[in-house]
Amino acid sequence: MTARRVAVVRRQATLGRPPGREWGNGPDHALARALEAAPGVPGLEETRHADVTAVLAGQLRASLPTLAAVFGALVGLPVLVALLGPGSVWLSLAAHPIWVALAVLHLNRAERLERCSPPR
Amino acid sequence: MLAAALTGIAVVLVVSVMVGTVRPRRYATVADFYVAARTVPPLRNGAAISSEFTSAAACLGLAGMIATHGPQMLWYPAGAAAGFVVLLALVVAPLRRSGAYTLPDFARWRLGSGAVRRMTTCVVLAVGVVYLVAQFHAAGLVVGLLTGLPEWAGWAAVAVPSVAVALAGGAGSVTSVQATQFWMKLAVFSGVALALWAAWHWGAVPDGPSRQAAPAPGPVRPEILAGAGDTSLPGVLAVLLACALGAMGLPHVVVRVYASPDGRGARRSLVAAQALLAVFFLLPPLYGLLGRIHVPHAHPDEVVLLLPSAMLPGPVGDLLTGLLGAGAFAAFLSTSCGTLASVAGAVSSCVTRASVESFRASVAGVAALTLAVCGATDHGGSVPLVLAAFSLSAATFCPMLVLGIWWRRLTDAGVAAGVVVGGGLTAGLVCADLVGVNLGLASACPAAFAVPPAFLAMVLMSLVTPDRVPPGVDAMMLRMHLPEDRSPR
Repeated sequence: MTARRVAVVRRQATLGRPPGREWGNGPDHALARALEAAPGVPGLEETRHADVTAVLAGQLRASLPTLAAVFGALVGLPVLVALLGPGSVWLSLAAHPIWVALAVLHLNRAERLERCSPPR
Repeated sequence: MLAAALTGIAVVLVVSVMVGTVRPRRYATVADFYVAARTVPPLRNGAAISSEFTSAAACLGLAGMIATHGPQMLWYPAGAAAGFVVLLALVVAPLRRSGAYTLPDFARWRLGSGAVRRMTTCVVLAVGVVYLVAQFHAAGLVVGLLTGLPEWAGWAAVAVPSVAVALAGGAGSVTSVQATQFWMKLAVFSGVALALWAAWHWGAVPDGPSRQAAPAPGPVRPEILAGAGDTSLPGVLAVLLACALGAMGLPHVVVRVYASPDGRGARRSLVAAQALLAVFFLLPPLYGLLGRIHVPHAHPDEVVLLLPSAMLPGPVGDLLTGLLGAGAFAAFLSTSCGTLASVAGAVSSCVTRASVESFRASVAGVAALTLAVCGATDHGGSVPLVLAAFSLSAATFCPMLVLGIWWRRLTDAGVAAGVVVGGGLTAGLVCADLVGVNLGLASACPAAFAVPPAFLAMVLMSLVTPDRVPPGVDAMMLRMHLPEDRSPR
């Protein structure tokens, strides 16, 4: 007996702005506003320059705090250990929980930014 | 010790080949073959990423560097893991959404230039071969240490199963092998570390260097290639910079992004890898601390394997050494499989039309090239070689990816200039150091001297060649930065 192939189509998740609500002014809503201004994201040639700028700026604002924290810790921790003395070099082990926390925070921020954008 | 070591290594080889080849997956298209049909769930993909990343350098070299060069080397695992946060924040989701299979494919898609694709394929090949040489040489060293066999036996013991797994089922087989091997490595290295730590803590082991493990003939060679082993603060910071920026351009790590079903899955895979690496990277400091006490004069890549016999002479030490030998071979195999598959994917799709046959021919070719390089070089240590690969990646792929994903005005001429400047500076400094021409701080920290000029060259050349910005760049940007269900396709 051969197994029957079944095509499973995933239902699109309900995304977007709740009815009757306006987008806020925070960085999380930059992408949503940009897309709302260009409903349906037009074809390749008609894509508007300003929309891309808004999308990039919104996502960059989400990434920059993570990057600042990583490079701050990457430079700051060794310098701090150098100031405190060689006995404190075990502080380097504290970097790993920091990286995990930053990764989780960034993941949540990026997914929230995408969730708040309206469906095409 | 010989029987335990051979048994452990044999078990790893057999399990790896069985997982990878006994039930190879079937794919509908060549693309599926390359990227495991893009169906790997985040935790499994994260385990595979971690497995690729915990190579000979992470499993053996880092502990050895801590033991032989001092506690300043404790920063290296932290720097290596930091690269994943940078990758997550800047690259992973847009790269996955671009739909390209490899870094050269991304360059071709984003910049519309076949020449840039060929240039980046050469860099992928260079980074991949350096990484593979580090694995093969470490395997030769381990086999020689544990069994007394010649070094080439270790190269063959890694090369043959790696090629078999990569040939059997492409990225799908490689993913299965790597995910399995990560858990194997974590169990072995953490179990043995706990046993050794417990023996040391409860006084079952005398303090001080063991007579049995003893001092290597002559002083340990200082390994300062590509900054590895430099204990000064600027040296440590330069290595951390190379690690943080270089991780995003490692071909075998980046190719795992494409095995996720979408950008969201790719991000989650990376977070899973970050958590798994945080656990794994607690182990090298523990081995390094014990190695500094008991085998301070050994070769850095031998420290971990010498520890059990030095601390617990007799059957218990032999058993633990056998287990560590198996874990080390799992590390060599997982990284070698992934690197072979990713480099072969890039080379085959650049040289000929993408097909399973060309992929398999490229796997064999890359493995043969690696063996030839191994035959022509000596083993200086896995960490310096891996750091050289990180530095090259940081000075070439990091600017290309960051600017390609976030800056619309990047052009193919800009990327070519940046790759020539960054890659040329890094390769020149490392090669000059190898032949004995030391340029001071620049030789010790090649990434710190090569990355800024590479970025600068890319930006300046792009600004003076605005007519070469590819058409449809806005649509590409939207495709990379919007979720899949609402971007223009």
